[in-house]
Amino acid sequence: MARTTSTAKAPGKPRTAGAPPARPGAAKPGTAKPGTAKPGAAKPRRGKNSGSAVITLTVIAITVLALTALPLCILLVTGLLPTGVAVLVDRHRRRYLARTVGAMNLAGVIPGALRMWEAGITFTSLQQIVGSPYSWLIMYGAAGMGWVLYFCVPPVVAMVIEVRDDETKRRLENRSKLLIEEWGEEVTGKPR
Amino acid sequence: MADQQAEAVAGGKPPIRLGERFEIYPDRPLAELRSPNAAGFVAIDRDRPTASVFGLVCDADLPPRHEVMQALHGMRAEALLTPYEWGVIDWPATARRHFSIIFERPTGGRLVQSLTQTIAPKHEDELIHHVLPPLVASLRDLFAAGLTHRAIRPTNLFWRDAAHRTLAFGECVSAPPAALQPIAYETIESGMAMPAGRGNGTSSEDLYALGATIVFLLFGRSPTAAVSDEQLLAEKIGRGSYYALLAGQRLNGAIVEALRGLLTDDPRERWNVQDLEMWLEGRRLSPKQPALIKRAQRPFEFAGHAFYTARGVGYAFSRDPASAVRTLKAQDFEIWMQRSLCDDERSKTLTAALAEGHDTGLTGHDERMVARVCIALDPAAPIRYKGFSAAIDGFGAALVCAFRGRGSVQQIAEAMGGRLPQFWFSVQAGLKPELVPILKSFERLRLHLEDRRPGFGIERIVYEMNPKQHCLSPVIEADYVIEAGDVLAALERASEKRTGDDFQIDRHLAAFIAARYRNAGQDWYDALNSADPAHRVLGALYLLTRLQGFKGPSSVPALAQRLGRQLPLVIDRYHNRERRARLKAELPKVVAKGNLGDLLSFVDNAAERVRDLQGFHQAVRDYAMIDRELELLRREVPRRPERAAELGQRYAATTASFLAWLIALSVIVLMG
Repeated sequence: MARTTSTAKAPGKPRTAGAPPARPGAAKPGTAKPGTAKPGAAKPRRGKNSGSAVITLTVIAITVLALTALPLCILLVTGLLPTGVAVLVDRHRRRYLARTVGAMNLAGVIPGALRMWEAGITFTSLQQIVGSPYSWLIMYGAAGMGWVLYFCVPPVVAMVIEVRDDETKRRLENRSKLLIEEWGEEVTGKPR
Repeated sequence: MADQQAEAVAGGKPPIRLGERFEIYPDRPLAELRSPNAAGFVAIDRDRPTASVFGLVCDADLPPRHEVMQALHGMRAEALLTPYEWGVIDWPATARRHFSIIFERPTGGRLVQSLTQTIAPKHEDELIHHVLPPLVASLRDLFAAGLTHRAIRPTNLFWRDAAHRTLAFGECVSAPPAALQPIAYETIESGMAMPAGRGNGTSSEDLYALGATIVFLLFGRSPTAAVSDEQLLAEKIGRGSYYALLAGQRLNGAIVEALRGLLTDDPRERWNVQDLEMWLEGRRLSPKQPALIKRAQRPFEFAGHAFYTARGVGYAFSRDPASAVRTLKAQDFEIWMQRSLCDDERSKTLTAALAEGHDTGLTGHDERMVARVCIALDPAAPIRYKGFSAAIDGFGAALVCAFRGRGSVQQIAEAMGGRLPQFWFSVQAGLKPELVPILKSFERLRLHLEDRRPGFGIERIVYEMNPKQHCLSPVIEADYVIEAGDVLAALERASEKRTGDDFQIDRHLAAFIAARYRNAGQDWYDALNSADPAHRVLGALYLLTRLQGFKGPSSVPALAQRLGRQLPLVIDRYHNRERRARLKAELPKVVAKGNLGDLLSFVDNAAERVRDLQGFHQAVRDYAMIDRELELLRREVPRRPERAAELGQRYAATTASFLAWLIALSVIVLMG
């Protein structure tokens, strides 16, 4: 589900950090000339290959894990299902949802995985873990916390930004008022 | 004015001091010694109490002849009243200051009080042996000093002795040259000029006046007393002065020769003082016949009269410029000039007069054309434009009199602006060396005239042409200020009486200072001309400060008070409101001191001005930056939810990562 486009990097042009994503198909492969790329016109973006590589590596890792430690693999795959859903629904180029839910989900899976590691990586220990509702509560509850964080923090930040902007505006307006009081309307550069 | 002074007397008034030496008694008028423009009063010489002197208190409307006064001061002429002392005095009767002159008092009194008065006719021998020799000797001394009397008439002759044997010329310095002369005692050229514009003239005019005075003495009366000035002038032009002044009377004897020589109308043929002295010594010449004037074969008809001479036509044109314009626009006159008058020289100058048009587009073009034609027809005559008429060296006094209500300032300005004096010079057959500086000064003064700023214009010309003219500004006119150094003290006195009015430098005051105090610089001309009242006040303050530095007085509190009321405008030129408030609060204290220099540096301090300007520019930059930031904030408002979401999601991800690491580490530690 990685949203990648074909690489259209201009040679020698490093990728601009934080640059907005280009529209799909904005730059066709091979049309960008060296040194002629305009800022914002065809920005270098994360390539489709890197996303594919992650998926490929994940599939390989899961396959290797399934072949070597199938119970642990089953625990991790089932435990990290919320992360998989988050990855699927996250359309943001920086994948904040996936990163938030994934980090919390992973933190919830670690206790189960460690218990299995201590008890031995067997289907019996798997059965004990998956049979416990607490395990599911911890794994999915942590993921839920991630979802909560993802949805709750932005409004708080919005509120903080608004308060901060209002404060800045008030401070600037006070300062300009003081300047007018001290130097008169002429300081505005507008005719009186 | 002279009557007013003489009548406004009351008993027991203290004498008025003139200089260190003389005292004038305002309650002891001398009616027999008064001049038409000056009242006579008893005076005493404190150094020589027995000396008989009297004082003339002059009318402020006619400028005295300062340069002649100065020259006569050292002269001891036998038959001429010379001034001992002069200066400006306070005169309580008129509540103003007047120019006053002290003379030696003639013992025998005035010959006649008016030209209608009759006396016993003088015999030719008495004139030749007793009366004329001292008079002529005095004239010789006067002419040798490069001066002219220009006030020789029977009413200005005095008996030097009680026995009435010796006559002396009266004073000639209290009024402009010939300003008080009747037409009978002036040459045709000088008689055509307005009284104040007759100019210094030459010795020839004085000798003509002496000739006319001799006629009076011979007859014991004026034969032309009943003839009007206009008629007498027309008679002189038409028949010649000799016949006009005798008015049909006949004279016999040797004196006829002298009279013909003195009264001839051609200045080149008129007797000079040597001729007269030789004649008095007994050398008799054959009587001169009047020179023949070039006459036309047929007359030129204008305004119902027939004219045969160019001078006659010129005089008629100058009397009726509107009709003259119509005549000149027709061809008849040029044809008459060429075919009847047959004067090639006149025809040539007439063509130049008609062709010249420096002032095309200005008002009065036709009138100036008539004036040029009059000059071309009669180059020796004064410059005549509309109602104005003055000799080339009479413009200065005429202008003063015009400003005092005796003539039109506008007409003089138009005549000078239209380059009529320059045209007059161009038609003179031989330019006399003494006239060259006058020509140059007219060129220079025209530039002043065209400059409309205060300090220039026609007012400046008054003071440039009359170096000793007192300031005619209504504010200080009554103070009779002659020197720039006295202006400030006069302004202070005026301010003490007019504390409620705002102070302004009027055009006369500006022109007077510009002409008399050239070290005042030139930067204030533009300031006074500014439309910004603050700039004008500051310009005035700069000028007055320089005057205070020049000759004081060191404190002028009343003037400072009047200026101080306008200075908030200057303080408002500072941008900083706090500075303004502080300066306005402290202003009354500085004003009270009356030192204009302190006042100037207080309201217009250069360092403060620079600091204020720098601060203001910084404030403008700061304000612009704040404005930009506010604009940025306003533009950010629609994007704020998007930005908040992006930032919030990032914070959520970061927080989640941090918590995950914390939980993982805790679990590992707890389970390990």
